[in-house]
Amino acid sequence: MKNEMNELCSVEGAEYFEVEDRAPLAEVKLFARDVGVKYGENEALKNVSIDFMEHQVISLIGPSGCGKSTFLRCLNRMNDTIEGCRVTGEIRLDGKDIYSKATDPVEIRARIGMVFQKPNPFPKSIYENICYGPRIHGMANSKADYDDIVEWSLTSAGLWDEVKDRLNEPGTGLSGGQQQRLCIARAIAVHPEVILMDEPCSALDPIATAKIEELIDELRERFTITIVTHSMQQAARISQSTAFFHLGELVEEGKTDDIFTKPGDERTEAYITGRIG
Amino acid sequence: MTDNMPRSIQSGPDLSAARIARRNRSERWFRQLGILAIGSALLMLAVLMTSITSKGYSAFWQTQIAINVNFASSDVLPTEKVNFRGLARRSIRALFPDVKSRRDKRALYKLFSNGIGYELRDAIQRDPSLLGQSKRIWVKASADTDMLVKGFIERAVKQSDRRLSDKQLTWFDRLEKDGRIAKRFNLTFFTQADSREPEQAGILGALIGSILTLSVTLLLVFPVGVAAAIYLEEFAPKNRWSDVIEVNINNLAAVPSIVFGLLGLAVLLNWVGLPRSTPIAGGVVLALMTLPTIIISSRSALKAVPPSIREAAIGMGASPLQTVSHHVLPLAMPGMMTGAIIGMAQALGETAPLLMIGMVAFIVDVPGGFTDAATVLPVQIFLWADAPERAFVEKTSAAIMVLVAFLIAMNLFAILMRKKFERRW
Ligand SMILES: Nc1ncnc2c1ncn2[C@@H]1O[C@H](COP(=O)(O)OP(=O)(O)OP(=O)(O)O)[C@@H](O)[C@H]1O
Ligand SMILES: [Mg+2]
Repeated sequence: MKNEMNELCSVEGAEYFEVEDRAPLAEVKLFARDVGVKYGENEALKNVSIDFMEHQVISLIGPSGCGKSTFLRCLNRMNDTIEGCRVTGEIRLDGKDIYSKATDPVEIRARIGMVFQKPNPFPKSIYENICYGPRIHGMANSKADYDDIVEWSLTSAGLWDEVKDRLNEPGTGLSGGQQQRLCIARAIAVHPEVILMDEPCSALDPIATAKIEELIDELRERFTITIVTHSMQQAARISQSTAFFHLGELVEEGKTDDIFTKPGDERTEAYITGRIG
Repeated sequence: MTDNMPRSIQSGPDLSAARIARRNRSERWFRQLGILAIGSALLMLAVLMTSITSKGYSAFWQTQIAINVNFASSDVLPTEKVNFRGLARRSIRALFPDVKSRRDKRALYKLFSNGIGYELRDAIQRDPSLLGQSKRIWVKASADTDMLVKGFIERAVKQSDRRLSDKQLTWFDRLEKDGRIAKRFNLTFFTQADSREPEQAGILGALIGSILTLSVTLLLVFPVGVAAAIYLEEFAPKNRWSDVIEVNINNLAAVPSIVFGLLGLAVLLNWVGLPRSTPIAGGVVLALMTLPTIIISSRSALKAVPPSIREAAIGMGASPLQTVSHHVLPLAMPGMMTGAIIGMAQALGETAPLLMIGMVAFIVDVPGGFTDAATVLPVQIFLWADAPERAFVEKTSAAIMVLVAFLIAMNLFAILMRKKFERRW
């Protein structure tokens, strides 16, 4: 098992350095310090500090219920909508504190897109699902612009061929995996700077998964991507950095390569070798 | 694994015939109970409707009497100056030359509606070519004659105990023999407002009054109620204050309606100075009364929208208002409209608070605007049910039929609107 992992990662590693070449001036896009979250009295997350570098994919891994989704939702202030949820610590986007009073959470969410764990298309047509974001952010002027946006987004999410003949049918009428890809297409249609994906492939078959992974790899050139995944192989394949969470704590964070080959903490090792989780 | 599995799990589900039979029995029993409940509700509704219809349908017909009128030009021009009542009486007397004494004449006139002068005037205004002609004209019979024709006056009863004397009965029989009596569709009922004379009383005034009042109510209560519900459900912080508000709204919904009438009297009429007995005052009072209902039903419609839709919109960078107006509201709209219609139906049938602000007044004109004195359907029903004349009995039932028809129309409209707004997915 471990050998297999090494092999996978060494291949990945080579690619990783290539990327470094492509983007030599990688900067900190998102910066999280001592982030803690409480749902009422229940502390779901404590002392999480991670730097998200520009043009990188970072994977958040860890056993179920360890706070990955919770952390992800802090990054674009989605936790604001949850009653009784309190976020402490500091999160900065391009150096700007996203939790300061002066910051508009709506702007933050426009710049940091999100794909949710459960697919949640709008009860509107497929076309309208994609156009909604560009419309409220004033990104297009004509029908042709919207058509282009829809085609590009759906093609990127690997859904175009399946739905191009029924763009006016309800998005909620698609299968679970198709809905998930629709949500990915919807998120990238507004060209966010950061994309947060919460288990985007959990409902997908291997072919669709491969398409999404390909997409993530392409999108990395434009966006900064954070992905929650339960698949170690996926984390190894697509991410440059990996963060391992356990029981609401960030156990360790580093280059994917390092995490999978020489984990610094025994809990990480136990998890990636399948002994806990 | 199987070692420590509890015995109760190991034995598996109990699929014995007795257990299944018991389950099926209670299922069947519950289903029959449901059918019984619906059946009895329908039966009661049917009894109610048949009793009202059987009492009320006769009000849609009215007895008319044909008289010969000589519209000699000197008699009838200009129309404002002419004594049409005199003309009518002359025409009546012409039918019965043998009636001589004043008392008998007065008794004879009583077979006819006392408004036939106006009918003659209307006839000539409608058709000026009648001028100079002698013409057979159908005019309204009095309510007593009408009751006689409809079989509500027993000839066998002692003369002193019935509304028509023996003499009047013989005159009537003569008219009938001459083919001068006919039952015609009662247009008056649908084109006139209330009147002291049953044969001249109509429902239109109350119907228009109800429509005007309900328009005021709907225009006030729907925007305010929906806005309040949206604010409370989507924007207001959930804390002790919002709990207090919620409890108060629920309490308000349970306040007896007459209290709102007293409030309207004290505040709207005496303090704000809205005119008495008007649709505007009544509409505001009914709006206050239905507001809690609308808020509660709108809130539950909003609650029924899945939170994942809100999350999706907010996650796309939609502002809270955009989230509500683009996604939540369209989904909640059908439910809100159902609530609004229930509120309106409640307002349509409401009498007590309107009595307090003077809408019980006797009003003979069809209201032309929101500030004209008016009455409403349920109050009209109340007034007619209270009237001593036998002829108002059928009118009361007919008014109830109109009210119910109005309600059904409202509900149909609501269903159509809901169909239009409802998402097909
Ligand atoms: N809305 C909420 N209210 C209260 N507690 C919550 C809420 N959401 C999550 N939690 C709690 O926070 C903890 C972390 O949950 P979270 O959803 O972040 O886990 P996760 O790592 O994403 O798990 P999974 O891999 O199963 O998705 C859990 O113990 C959960 O019970
Ligand atoms: Mg999760």
